[in-house]
Amino acid sequence: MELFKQTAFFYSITGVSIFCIGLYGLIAYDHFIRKTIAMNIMGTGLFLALVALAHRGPEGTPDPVPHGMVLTGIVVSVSATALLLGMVVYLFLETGATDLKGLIKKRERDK
Amino acid sequence: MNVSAFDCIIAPTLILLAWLAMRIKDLFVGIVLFILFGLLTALTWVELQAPDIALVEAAIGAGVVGALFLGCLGIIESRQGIYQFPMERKRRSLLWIPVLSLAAILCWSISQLPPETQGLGNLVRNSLLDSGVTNPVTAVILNFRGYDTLLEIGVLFLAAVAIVSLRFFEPAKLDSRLAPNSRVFLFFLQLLTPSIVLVSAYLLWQGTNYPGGAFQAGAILTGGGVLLLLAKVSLPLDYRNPWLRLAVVSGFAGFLLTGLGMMGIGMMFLEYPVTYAKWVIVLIEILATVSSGLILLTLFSGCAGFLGITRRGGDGTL
Amino acid sequence: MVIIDYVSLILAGIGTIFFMASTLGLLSFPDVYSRLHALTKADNVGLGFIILGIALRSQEVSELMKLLLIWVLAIISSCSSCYLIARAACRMGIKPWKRP
Repeated sequence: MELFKQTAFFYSITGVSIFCIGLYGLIAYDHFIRKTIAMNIMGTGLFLALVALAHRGPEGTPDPVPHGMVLTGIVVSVSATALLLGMVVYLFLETGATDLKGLIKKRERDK
Repeated sequence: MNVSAFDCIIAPTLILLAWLAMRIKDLFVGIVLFILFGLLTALTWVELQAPDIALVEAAIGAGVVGALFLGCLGIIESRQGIYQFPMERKRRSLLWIPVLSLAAILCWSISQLPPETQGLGNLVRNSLLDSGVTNPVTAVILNFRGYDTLLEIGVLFLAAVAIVSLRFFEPAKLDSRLAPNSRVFLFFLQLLTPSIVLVSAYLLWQGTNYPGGAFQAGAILTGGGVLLLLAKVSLPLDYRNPWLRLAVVSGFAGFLLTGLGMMGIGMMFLEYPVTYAKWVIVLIEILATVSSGLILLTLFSGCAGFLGITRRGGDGTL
Repeated sequence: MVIIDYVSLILAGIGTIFFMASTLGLLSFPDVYSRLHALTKADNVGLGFIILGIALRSQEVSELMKLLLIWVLAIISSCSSCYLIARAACRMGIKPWKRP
């Protein structure tokens, strides 16, 4: 337990829990925008864990390579979010559905 | 490096905000909580001594992503009657079992890691003089691991291409409630737009020695562009225009050509000569700033309906 | 220079008190207009005191100028967004709260 009194491990546990909360939300909720929010939350939790583990050196010298990876990761996750939201809007304009239940209902109506 | 009171306050707040942002029934409140989550995460990056990431998270992770979500919600909410579907299926209590066991496995494996390690930090700091800049993160992303950044700009470019191909070229007719034609707003933009360009250029230049860099500067330009779009200033975002296409491609193409040009000189792909390394990096950063700013602006306008939201005909006609 | 440290701490503390008061106002005032009134105090006065406290400890003039620029930009954007929100609320027909 003394291990988790250090900043690095404390924040990496926080990152892991945020990741798992996002994972639960991605699977459990129906609405597409909620799923996208959950995906972003997963990404942020992952980056938190990565940067916290880079903080394990002596004070004032964090490891800059995971910082670079997280920078790349934030930009890539923004691209993925934008594509997802564009497709959500397109799907909404084509079918009028914003979640999986709506899609199923529309498919049954069309049969 | 013990856990301070600040850490004990921020970490549970982050977890609570993450949980609430997904769960709240009103999506608008959920998105606002998500933006708040992004801002507190930016504060956490400063606590973890990563100020470059803090700038990127505040600008892109909280700012641009928040704008994307709100724009998308604006289109979906503007049609009544569709929004009233229920929030979730029957509660999946069984889902907690695999999620919690995954969390336990990850926590256990983290606890097995050595508590004191330098990683690659010493290697980077010893080679910092050869890289041409003095900010270690800029050296890592633009010199030592430039290949990652090249592919990252490529991914951004692909996202822009995909978003534009989902939409039409004519700007949508805006809902009159959407963009206030307000004198106060226009005056505010008159004051703000030169400051935005100045701050962006400042961040770009300071990125070589202090926290800053290309993506932060590009995100600030995107913020300015979003404000201008919201004020109904007619930005020429028509993708049939070849100059716009050139500006969007210039980040990825410039980086790639620089890397190939180094091979032409006789060095390896993406290896910079030590005396000119700083100027090569600044040139690549300028191209990356302009193009990533434009790409993020395109992503926003695609998600918020500024690129045209007319429906396609059934047989694929426009 | 211990006096400067104490003075800057007191000024930053006053700024924090303004932030807390503004948050209390956000949570407890009855309608949009009074909440906006409370919120702008945080951005103008609260931030101003905090920046004043930090500016007393700055080493160069360029730092001071950057801090002042931050404060000016924050004031301008908070004022504009406050006006826009109030204008939108007025157009949506929200009437100011009257004591019953």
